Amino acid sequence: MPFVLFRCDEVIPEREKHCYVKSPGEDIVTYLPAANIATIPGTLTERGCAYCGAKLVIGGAIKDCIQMIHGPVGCAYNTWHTKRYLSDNNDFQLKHVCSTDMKESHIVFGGMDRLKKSIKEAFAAYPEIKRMIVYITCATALIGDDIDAIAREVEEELGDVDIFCVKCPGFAGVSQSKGHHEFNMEWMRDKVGECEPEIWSPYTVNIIGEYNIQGDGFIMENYMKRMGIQVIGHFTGNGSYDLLRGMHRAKLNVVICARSAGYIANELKRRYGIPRLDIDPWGFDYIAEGLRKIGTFFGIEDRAEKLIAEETAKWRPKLDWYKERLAGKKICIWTGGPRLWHWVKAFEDELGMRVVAMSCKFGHPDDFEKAISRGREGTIYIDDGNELEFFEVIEKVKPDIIYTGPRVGDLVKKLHIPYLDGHGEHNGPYMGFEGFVHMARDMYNAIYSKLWQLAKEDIRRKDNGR
Amino acid sequence: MDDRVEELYSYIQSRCLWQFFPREWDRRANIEGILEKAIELLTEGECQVSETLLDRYFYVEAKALVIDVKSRFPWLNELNKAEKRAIMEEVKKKLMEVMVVKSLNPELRLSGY
Ligand code: SF4
Repeated sequence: MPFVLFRCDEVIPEREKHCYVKSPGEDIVTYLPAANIATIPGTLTERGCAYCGAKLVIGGAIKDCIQMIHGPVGCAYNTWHTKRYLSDNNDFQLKHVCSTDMKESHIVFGGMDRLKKSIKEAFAAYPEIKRMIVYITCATALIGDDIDAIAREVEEELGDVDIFCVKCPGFAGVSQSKGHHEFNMEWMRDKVGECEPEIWSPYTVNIIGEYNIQGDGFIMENYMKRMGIQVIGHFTGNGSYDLLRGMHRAKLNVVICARSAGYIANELKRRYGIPRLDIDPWGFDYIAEGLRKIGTFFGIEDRAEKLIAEETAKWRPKLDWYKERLAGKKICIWTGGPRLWHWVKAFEDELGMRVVAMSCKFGHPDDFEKAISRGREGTIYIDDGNELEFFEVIEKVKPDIIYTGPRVGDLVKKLHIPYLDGHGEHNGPYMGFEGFVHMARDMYNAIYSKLWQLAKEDIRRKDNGR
Repeated sequence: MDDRVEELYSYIQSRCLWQFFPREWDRRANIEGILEKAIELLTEGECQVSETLLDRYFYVEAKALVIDVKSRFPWLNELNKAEKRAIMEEVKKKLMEVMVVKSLNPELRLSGY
């Protein structure tokens, strides 16, 4: 079957090339949905802006620097406190954000003085923090504020601070993906190579594209520690500004989210010859494979096997209990991009579920190459899905559960379909052996919750609407 | 032989992330480098690994692939060296064709990352 045009899209037929149903005999050289192109006017996109991709996804997870948003306060507010990335620095990065709070008069007369004052105020307010990321936003980019010039002035005046400037306003790209890209490339260009980390192990890695959502990164760091491996740069969950400046010293880049952070791994390979090893850390089979590969790389396979055996013994019985109850359930994955292909086989092969629809907000063509290669025939694949399309998909595939974000999640809840937060990982962490059990538990609790029956009852009616 | 090539190719396509690297040159390098080593491992039981980190990476992926396909496709163990090589060369050709030559991914040919 070629691309499909949903009923709701009849007035925006351009949507057809973004929606695909895989038929027998088709593969990724037959059809590939259009992706990473501008949203069509008229469609209710779920995408975020490019600045949001840089701040909310990447920079905002770094635990030991001040986040300074140069723009109207809304840009800071919209990207503050909505991600569940934890840190061992008392979650400083979650709690605090600074804004230059640009108003109309500053837009008219320029905001550089205001930026300088705000940067100095922020360093004074957090005297123990000597690092900062400054982000430009739509308004301040349009008036041409030179954030780099101000940052260099302040660095010179204060002497002991370091400031990284991200020049990716909201309008710079078609989605948050552009912000991921810009942050990666600018960090590589401006910061990598500036610090020499203390090396305590012959086995050194960077963990790239892992944001410590609900503590995922703590699990990965724990695995590395148990294998005697030093994590230099954790890009960027629980990441440290200065250690991320020393990423060039690692021997291996372990890449998890290839979409948001593959760029820096590619550049580290190109410039420093550090290989990029992509792994899937969700699902027992996949995480075991990833750990084995890391073990083989350093010639410490025995340590990997010991870790895998310990973790499997501890968590397998629990996973099996949930598997029995989840087998055959139909699930939709409507998330950002990579979780489609990371999760689909783990759900199907390890839990016996059926992934019936996948949609991503900011995926690129290679995300669809992976998702379609891993996904089954008959499954619906959508790029930049809009909410009316989601309603039609639900009507067609009748899922038992949907992994998505809070925006779409609140819609599907009203249809009495259980939803789990695919970005914030509900009661995660979800990575690793332990994490996959949490994931199965969340799905079990959601699907079997009595709430869905109760929610259907209309308490205004005597017979409760039954 | 065609069926067996298809079986192996389909499995690799649904499993291995290295074939999906973002640019044409990465994909070519990975398919060449990893499958060359996998063929050596399958036919000789061992392979040459140079001192470079990148060569070591190819070896890591090849080793994982060989262990995996040997256990999933027991028929592979019954073939002689020449047959194993012939099948794997065909798999490589098919991967190169789908992932690079005929790929519909317009970003594959961008000049930078
Ligand atoms: S689109 Fe522009 S104004 Fe809106 S949040 Fe993003 S940077 Fe701020």
